[in-house]
Amino acid sequence: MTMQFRDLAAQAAADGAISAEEILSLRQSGWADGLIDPEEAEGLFIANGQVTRPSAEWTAFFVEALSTFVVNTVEPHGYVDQTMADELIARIDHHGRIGSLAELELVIRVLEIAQSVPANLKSYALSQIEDAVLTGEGSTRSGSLDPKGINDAECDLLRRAIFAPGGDRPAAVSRAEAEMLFRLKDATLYEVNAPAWENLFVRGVASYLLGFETAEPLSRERAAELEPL
Amino acid sequence: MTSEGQGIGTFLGRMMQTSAEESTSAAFGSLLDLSQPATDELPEPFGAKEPWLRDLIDADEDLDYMEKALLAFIAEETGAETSPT
Repeated sequence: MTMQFRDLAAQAAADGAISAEEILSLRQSGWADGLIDPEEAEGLFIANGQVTRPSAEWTAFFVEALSTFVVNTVEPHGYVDQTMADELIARIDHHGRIGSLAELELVIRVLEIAQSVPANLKSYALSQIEDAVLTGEGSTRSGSLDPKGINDAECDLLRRAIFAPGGDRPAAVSRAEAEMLFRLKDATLYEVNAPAWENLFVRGVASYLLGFETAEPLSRERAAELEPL
Repeated sequence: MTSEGQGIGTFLGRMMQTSAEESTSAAFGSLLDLSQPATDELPEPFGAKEPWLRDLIDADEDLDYMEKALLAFIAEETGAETSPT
């Protein structure tokens, strides 16, 4: 298993791509148990750095494997601890910006599947998403980013991040998120935006103002106490 | 004691009646007059967040179409009147 993951980086370096067939093979044999170790996770990050033509299959595999690693490696499962959050940020940050859209997808996916993540990861994710919506280009799972205005794909990214269980305020909008929506609104007021943007802004800020929310998740410490039961 | 709907209705009514050309400070002016503890009339948690909203809307001294849509939505959600009675 480890050899196959190690081979990824070399394969990516050789031709700048990892084919759909290679990913399928890895899913069937190397990743059959759905788990990777820290060394294999490092290999995925290195391979992603070498891939110059990331396919949808590669991005999906990268995000799925690493989000599972980040969220479920340390107990209690579903809770990202401070060490893991710091290591994730250190691995994907390049001079204050996320290095690739696959890594942006990874951060959003971690927020979506985690019960809770440390504050610095939430804050980092929020700033990177704001930057990507305003200046990003390229394809994401949600569609293509456009530096002009806010399109449907960018609305989808924002919605996923803001209402994620591991977000700043689970299934509701925090003050920091509402302020980000205002900054995005001001920056794109006279651009051509997707119709969904006005709806997201209105409902997002109203969610913060009116206090729509669901129950808070268990703290990481309390979840650890209950997990053996 | 003002009811919840009346509190928000007063707030929103003033906001919605303000033209885009007017400063939003005017819309909030009487609401925030210290001689009129109007923020006390607003229900929690909206009352405590009202200065936050005012500062953001006031930042460019213009009530744009997105902000108008936000205030209209809040009025609809809370069942508050958007015009003063």
